[in-house]
Amino acid sequence: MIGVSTIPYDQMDYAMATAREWGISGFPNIADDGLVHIRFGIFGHPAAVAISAGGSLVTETGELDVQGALDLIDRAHSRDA
Amino acid sequence: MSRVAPAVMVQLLALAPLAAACSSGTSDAAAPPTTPSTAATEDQSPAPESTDDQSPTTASDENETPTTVVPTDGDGSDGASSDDPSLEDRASSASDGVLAEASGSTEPAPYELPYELEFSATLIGGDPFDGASLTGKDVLFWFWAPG
Repeated sequence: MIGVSTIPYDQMDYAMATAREWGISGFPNIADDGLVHIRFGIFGHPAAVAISAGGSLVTETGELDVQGALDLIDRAHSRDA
Repeated sequence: MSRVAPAVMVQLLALAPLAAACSSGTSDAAAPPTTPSTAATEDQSPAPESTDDQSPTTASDENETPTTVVPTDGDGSDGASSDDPSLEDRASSASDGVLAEASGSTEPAPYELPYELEFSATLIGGDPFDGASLTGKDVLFWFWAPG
């Protein structure tokens, strides 16, 4: 799992404090200046994008729980064929 | 193959007026300026069909003399003795080359990097991150913003 924040890298202290506060420091979080959002076509939060090992991509906008995240990955897998 | 086919085409077009003159008689030989263009356009339509493999055979079917002439000018070298084998070898090697090029160009990469993973960024903490490092893995990107 890769987090993509809207806090750019020039505000690193704020980004690190937020990640610690939210308890999301256990996985990599990108300090995005917007380019990653644009590349994935994300214009709202929260959002999630699952990319399968075969390269298929599924986007979901809105809150996701653990099962929702797993389902999203399964949906990406189903598009590999 | 791209070298052979145009050369054969040129030879066929050049020989077309002669063949027309021989078939029609000597009276047509008196008007060569007009007949070459018409004969060339007439012979040009079937020529592309036969340029792949059968251009030497069509020439040999029409007359035997063109088959001896075509390879010599196509080569630009002496090829009067073994004309048909050289053409066949050349055509086969050319076709093999084309097939090799086609197969080489159409061979897909084992895995193509998705467009979305073609980025580099900085992680919270300052470490660099390359999206291509996730190639071939199941990945979930979670986009978030501080409230």
